This record gives sequence, structure tokens and C-alpha cells, in this order.
Amino acid sequence: MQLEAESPSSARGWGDFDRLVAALPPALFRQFKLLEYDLALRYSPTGQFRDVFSGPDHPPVLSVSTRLLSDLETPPGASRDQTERRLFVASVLMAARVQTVEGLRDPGGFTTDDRIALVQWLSEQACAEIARVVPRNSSFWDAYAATAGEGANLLAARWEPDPVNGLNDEPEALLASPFSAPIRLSALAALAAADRSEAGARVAEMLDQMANSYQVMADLASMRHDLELGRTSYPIAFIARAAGILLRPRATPEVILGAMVITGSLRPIMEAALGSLRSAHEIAMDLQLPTFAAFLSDAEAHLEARLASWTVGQPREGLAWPVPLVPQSTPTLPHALSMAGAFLLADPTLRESWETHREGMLGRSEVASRFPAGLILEMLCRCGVDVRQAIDEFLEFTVANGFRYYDHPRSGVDSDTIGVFLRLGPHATASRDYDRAATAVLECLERNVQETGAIPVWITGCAGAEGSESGVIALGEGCGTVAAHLLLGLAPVANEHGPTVTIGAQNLLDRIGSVGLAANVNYPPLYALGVFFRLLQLLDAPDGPAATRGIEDARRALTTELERAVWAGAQTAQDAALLILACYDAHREDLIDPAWLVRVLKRQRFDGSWIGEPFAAAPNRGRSVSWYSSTLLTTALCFDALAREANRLAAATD
Amino acid sequence: MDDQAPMRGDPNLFYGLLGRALTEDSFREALKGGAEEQAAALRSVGIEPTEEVIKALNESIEAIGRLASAGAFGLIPYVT
Repeated sequence: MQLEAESPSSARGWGDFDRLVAALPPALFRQFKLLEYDLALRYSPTGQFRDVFSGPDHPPVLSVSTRLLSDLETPPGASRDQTERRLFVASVLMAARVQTVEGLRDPGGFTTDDRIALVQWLSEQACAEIARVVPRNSSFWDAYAATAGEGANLLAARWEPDPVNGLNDEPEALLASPFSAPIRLSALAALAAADRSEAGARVAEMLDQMANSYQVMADLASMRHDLELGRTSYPIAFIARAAGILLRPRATPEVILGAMVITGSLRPIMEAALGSLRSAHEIAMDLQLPTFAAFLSDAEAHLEARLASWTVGQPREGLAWPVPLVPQSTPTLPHALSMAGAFLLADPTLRESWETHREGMLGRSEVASRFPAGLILEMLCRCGVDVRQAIDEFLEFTVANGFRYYDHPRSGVDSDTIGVFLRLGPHATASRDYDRAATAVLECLERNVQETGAIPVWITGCAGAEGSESGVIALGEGCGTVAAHLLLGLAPVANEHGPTVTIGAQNLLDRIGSVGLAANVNYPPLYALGVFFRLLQLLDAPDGPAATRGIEDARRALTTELERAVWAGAQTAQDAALLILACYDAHREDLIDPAWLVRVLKRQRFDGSWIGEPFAAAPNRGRSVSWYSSTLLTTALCFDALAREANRLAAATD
Repeated sequence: MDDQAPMRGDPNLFYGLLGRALTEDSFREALKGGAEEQAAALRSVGIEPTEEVIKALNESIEAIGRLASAGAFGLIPYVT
């Protein structure tokens, strides 16, 4: 006796559910739309949302109440129809909540913290649906409170295992389905509505056994992923116990997988799942619940066929099962890096990153600065990507453009452009010689530095650039990060420009020592932190430039700023990436919060990029200023941060 | 198959070797190669290629090959 895949009441239930979702405010609706697809991808045999949790491969999460009301021969009528529909909607809401919470727990997935709003809505709405069919004075509400508490406690324990009290690595202690609580609540509500609460305990036992069986198979399916995340599940603990492997300290994924083969653990693990299904089936028979018994019998046969296709950890000849038991799982970090790298290299000119103005700057319909592309190329070099050809083209353009910031003859010559030119020079094709190209502009810079005692943002009085100093307002003067950018390029080649480096570095060190991060004007403070720390390292090196005073004072001031930034944390992917980079540049990897890496990973888009975030102020129409942002630049920052974390994690496991 | 790794010392080395063979096609192929390739692969992870180890490896590598070829480690989306 089987229940139709979509009974009339569940069809009406879907209609009720669709109306509920359609009424969601836009932000929640968008969140739910992604959740719908997530559920369909994981739990629908057809990929359609309406088919979630149907068929013997998935627990019947949505049909528990309908099955119970049918099996208990509840009289048909408006009351039963109302109960079925409301509890169906509640079941969908609770299943959706499980999926959202599981997504939040996955550091490599894309369920971001803002989905907590959806969790709240799903919880409250599910409770409201149940309350419409279960009387307020029913003992169900005591069971509801207890089950909800158990579910929440289980979730808390799985989220952050207690290092003192949570050391039970026996497989059975780890067997807990996140669907247990929703299934049980749905069943108990149906029993209460039908005034049959006396059967609750046995029904709950049956459902727990069923949920455990499905959880074993789900844990097998996610075993590679769990191993990569350092999580322990039933099959992992089972294999470890069979092989005599300690789970603390954590064994590598390969060790557990190898032990799985040697011990032939796949079969007994599947037998455990089958045993739970059989127990559930027996209870269903005892309770005379025919649709449950039929479903469980079908599921049992399905699993038996699957088990029969395997002998000791291997498929029996000629009976290969089409669905993998323990599928491959691509490690998240290298995968994300590969996607990001492909995105960054898709356009060698990095055109999207150029600061392109179309508001009429300098009397032209379009003016651009390629400077951000230089920053991206520099980060790619640091990560070991071969971008020599792109660097050659960037440097050739910079020389041809007279080291101006914008591609316009009236644009000023600036220290940022010279700095990135000098820093990229060593990474250009070996046969090219760009050193002499900068001679004239560096002599001009030297005069500026001698006159003012500091490195300017805009360099004045250079031959060929005289027209740039009339009729324009040059913004951003006095930025210490621009000075640091220049010094990072000039100091390593400072033979002829020693005084420029010494004067410029001393001035900047004094400023940082005095005002800290406020020495930065034009860049995100977290970015400036990294640049300043890199400069300190260069100035402090044994073979560094001429002695300068105040390095330790500056380091102290910046370390205080870094610690403050670490305490404040990061809200966006770019901020998280910048914090990671700043910690590396300060050689304070100990300050890195693993949550920052998760924040970066969760915000990656399907094309490998991260959406551009504000990076610097840029003039806009109406003599106003708005934020420059670039998807390529933000992606490069995230790529750099991920690459450094990947190197660190690889070194830690060597 | 035995209940434990066929070697003295750290059995995790042997487990790790098999686990890597399960997930890396090229490494698995190297382990299925000639005696010299097998010995080199074992030594590369710090395992002395004794007769006992080679025998256990050959038994296991067959099971791993079947697991891999049956798609148990394929790239099919999984249910979590």
C-alpha cells in the first residue's frame, strides 16, 4: 500500500506553500529561491523542487503526517484536509530550515550568514502552521518543546563540538540525523490533531530508526567532504574503530579511506543502515501503519539491492551500482583558487579593472588609468602566476604615457604609477630593459622630494608634463600608502636615488609613528596596513636602504592598528581578504581567524570572481566623488589571500 | 582482507598510501606497475617494500581499482 507521489492534499499543500513563498519580502524571497534549488539538487530524484524527498533514496520528510493520518484511518473531511495541508507546509518549512542550517555549517559552500533571517522566518512560520491544527492545550506542545530543545542542542553540539565533554567517538554516538526532529514534530502533530497521541512514543522510535538509516547513507556520501573539513561522522568513526586509528589527533582523509578498504568497512556500515530500516519496518508492522510499512519495505529492498552489489568494500562483478557510495569530493580551497585564477587570466589586459571615467574628465568622453591592473599583476606575480607578457605590455604603455596616471596629456605624473612600474620591472621579460625609461621621471621625483622633504602623490615640474598642472584639481595628495608604494619599488634599485629613499622613508616613518594608519589617505585602511608592513620589512632588512629611524615605533603603531582590526573582524569578502593579507605582511599569521577564509569562500561567484567592492575614491559627474570598485581587483585580493592560506595549510600538513 | 595494515611501525602510512591510490588515478597506476615502480612508490611515502607489504598492496590495489572503476569515487553530485 503506497501513497501516491503527489496526493490531492499534498498538491494543495504545495499550492499553500507557493502562496506563502510568493508573499515573502524580496530579500527573503531571493534567499528562499536559492534554498529551493539547493534542496532540489540534494533531495529530488528529478531535480524539481516539488519532487524533494520522494522515492526510496530519501527519507519521506514531507509525507509523514499524511501517511500517519491515512494509516490511522482518520475520517476524511475538511478537518483532515486542513491538518494534512498545514502539516505538509510545516514539514517543507522545517526541511528547508535543516538545509539552510547545514549550508551555514559548510565553510566551503555558499550559504552566507545573512540566511539567519530565513532560518528565523522558517522556524516561526512552521510553528504557526502547526499551531493552526493542534489545540493549544494539547500535550503535544510539551513534546514540541522537548523535541525542539533536543534538536537545537544536537545542532549546537555538531556546530562546535565540546572539546572537554564531547569526546565520545563511538560511531553510534555520532549517528544523528538533522531530519529527526522535524520528522518527529510533524508526526506528533498529526497524532495530536487526530487525538491519537498515545502512539507517539512508538511512532517516534520508528521514525528515528528510519532517519538514522538514511543518515548513515548520507554520511557515507559526504564522507570525503567531512574528512576534508575535519569532521567526524558515523562511517568515519566506524572505520577508525575497525582499523584501530585514533581520531585525535585527526587522521588525514587518505588514512581513513585506505583503512576503509583494508578493513572492508563499507559492507558493515551499509548493513547498519539496513538494520535500522528493518527495525523501523518491524515497528510499522506492529503499529499497523500500512503506508509506512510499504514505504519501508520498498526502501529496505532498495538498500538490500545496493548492498548486494558490494562484497567486502568492492562491487560484485556484473552488479555495479550506478550511484556512488562514497563519491569524490573536490577540496574547496584549490578549487576556488583555480576558478579565481581562470577568471583573472581570462582577459590579459584586465580592462575591467581600469579606472575608466566617462563623466567628462579632462574634457574627454573617456579617460582611463590602468594603474589598478598593475596592482593585480603584482599580486599574480606574488602568487607565482606567469604574467610576463601582460607586464611587458603594461610597462610599455606606462612609458609611452609618460608615467601619467590617466591616459591624457594633461593628466599628472604620479608616484603610484612610478612605484608599480618599478615593482613590476623585475618580473618583465628578461630581455627588456625598462630601467632607463624611468630615469627622467625619477630625477624629477628627486627634485620634488628634496624640495618638500616627502614623497608627493603628484609629481610636479617634469619635462613634458607641464600642461598637467593648470586647470585641474589633483585629489589625494599626502597619502602615505602612495609613498610606501613608491618606496617598495624604488628602495631595491636605490643606488642612484638613495637620498630620495632615505628622505621619503624617514618622513613616512615619522608620520606612521605619529598618526599610525591615518598616514593613509587614498586606500582601504586594511590594504594600507599590508603595504606599510611590507615597507617596514624592506627598510629593516640587513641589505635594506640607508639607515632610517623610527622603524620600531612605526611597527608598534601599526601592530596596534592590526590588532584592533582583527578584533573588529571582517564583514565582506574583500575586507576578509585584506585582513588575511595584512596579517601575512605583518608576519602575524597567528592572528588570522579561520572565519575570514570562510567569508571569502562563501562569496565567490560561479565564474570564479568576487563582486567588486569599494577600493578608492574616484571623481564622478557633477564635481562629485564616488567609489572606484573593480571585480577583477577584488578577485585578485581574494585570490592572493586564498593562495597564501593554501600555502600555509599545505605546509602545516607536510 | 586483513584487519590491520601488514607492516610494523605506523600502519597509517599504509592506509594513507591506499587512500591516495583511491583518489589519485596516476598514483594508483604507479602502484599497479612493475615491481620497481611499486617499490619506489612505497618508499616515497616511507614504507619499506617487504614481501608482506607488496602482497597486501596487490590485494588491496585490486579492490581499489574496482571501487574507482565502479564510479564510487566519481564526480556525481552527492546527497548530504
